[in-house]
Amino acid sequence: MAPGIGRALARAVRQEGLGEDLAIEGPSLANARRRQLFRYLCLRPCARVGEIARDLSYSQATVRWHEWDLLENGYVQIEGARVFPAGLIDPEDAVLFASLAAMGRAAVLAATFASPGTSYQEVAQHVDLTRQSVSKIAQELSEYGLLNLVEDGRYRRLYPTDRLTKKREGNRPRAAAFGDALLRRLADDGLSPELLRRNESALLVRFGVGPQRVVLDLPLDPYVTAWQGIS
Amino acid sequence: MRKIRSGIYGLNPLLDGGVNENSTTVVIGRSGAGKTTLATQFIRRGLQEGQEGVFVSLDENKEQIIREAVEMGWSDILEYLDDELLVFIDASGREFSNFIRKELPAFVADWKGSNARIVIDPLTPVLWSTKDLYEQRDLIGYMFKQTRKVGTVLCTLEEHGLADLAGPETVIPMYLADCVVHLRFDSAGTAPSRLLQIVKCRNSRHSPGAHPYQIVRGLGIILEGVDGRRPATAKGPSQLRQMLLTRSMPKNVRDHLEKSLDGLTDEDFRTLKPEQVLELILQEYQGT
Repeated sequence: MAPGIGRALARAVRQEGLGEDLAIEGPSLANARRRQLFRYLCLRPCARVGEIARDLSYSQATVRWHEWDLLENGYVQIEGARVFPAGLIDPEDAVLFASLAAMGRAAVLAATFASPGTSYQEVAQHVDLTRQSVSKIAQELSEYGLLNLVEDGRYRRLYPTDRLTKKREGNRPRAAAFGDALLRRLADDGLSPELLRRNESALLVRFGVGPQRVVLDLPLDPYVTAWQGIS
Repeated sequence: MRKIRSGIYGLNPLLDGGVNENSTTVVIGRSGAGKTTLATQFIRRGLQEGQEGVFVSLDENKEQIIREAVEMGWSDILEYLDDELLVFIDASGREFSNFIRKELPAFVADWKGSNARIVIDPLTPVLWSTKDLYEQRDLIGYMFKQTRKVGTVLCTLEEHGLADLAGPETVIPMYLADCVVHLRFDSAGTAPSRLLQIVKCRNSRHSPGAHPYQIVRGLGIILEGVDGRRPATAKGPSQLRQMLLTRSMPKNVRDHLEKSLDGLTDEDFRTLKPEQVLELILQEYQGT
């Protein structure tokens, strides 16, 4: 094998090339920003344009433009005003994901999962919200069936339900089919996909045109990642 | 399993000839034990053999490591750097963790079958990039499994607290690595004491003892009192082979045992007595 492994490793560690556009007109995912947006929507389906723009450091107009392109090309679908990757989640859960996309709700849910039985006051301190805000959010999450609110003397305590866990388990076949469909779509788009790593929660695929290749890591576990933060 | 020379004077005989090619070694030690010196010796020895070297530094900057190597008397690494046979990579633990998750599979697909020596110094920031122990194990296990496809890997690991290898930052890599070397360094007294011990080495014999070592300018780590030229004896295995012939047992069992004794030495038997081993074998197969 020709020398050069060190330079190649340095380039890979710096993740050079990850944000490059592919030199091909047409396919949606040839565009680096669109890939990032698609990845973000896999992580947090139904996230609001403003939140996406903030997290990806794009303008809201840029997010809308690329969302529209992904929609036109069938990579995402829309329910009401909620946009999510086509085939990754149950469309009936779009409302639930839109709710979890709000930072406050995700934070309260994460705090409850981390410490079941925690009180409103403790959650408020932990997530830096007022007790009244926590109370309102807890009520909403309870209506979605994600939390149980239990009276304990002068305290109200929060307990997570197993609804998200069940939904997550139930979604695995759908997520697997989503991965398969994506690989077929990339092939149909002439992007010669090469599957590098796959498990129940993520898919790593390399694709491109000629010698120019990019790697896309797609999270496939939205019922967890939607409220556990961005990575 | 092909052996490659470690570059550390006196270590090869303790590892039955050297480091296993395409394996992962973890070197654990406190600050000042000589981990980076050992790693530099390892990579420099490969360069002398025509192998490429990659030094991933997750702590000190590369200029610092190069300067220390030159001060040690190893200025030849400057030429290897000029020729790009040796490449230093600076990265943070988080950057390197992201590389493992997102870029490593593609990198291995492109460079599988390479024969480089790769050092990661230290591995500790990669572990600390996530608090979740399951994720740590997954990350390190995946990295070890993949990187040995492109070369022979040596990672250093900081040892915190007591020098008993029980710290959470050492346990996971120790389980997952092919070979574990512990550099025990005690700087409390007037003269610092240094001991090297091979904790484990898969698919290889290795010395079970703790061996004193010194760090000498121009030479690096040198182990004391190691006689690599002493021929191995096989008195114990030979006696056991003779005894097997005198006792009754199924032919296929005897044939298999005789084959198992091929290449064994008294070092393998250590304190075991051949007659005791024979009795245990007979008990196992009695009545079969």
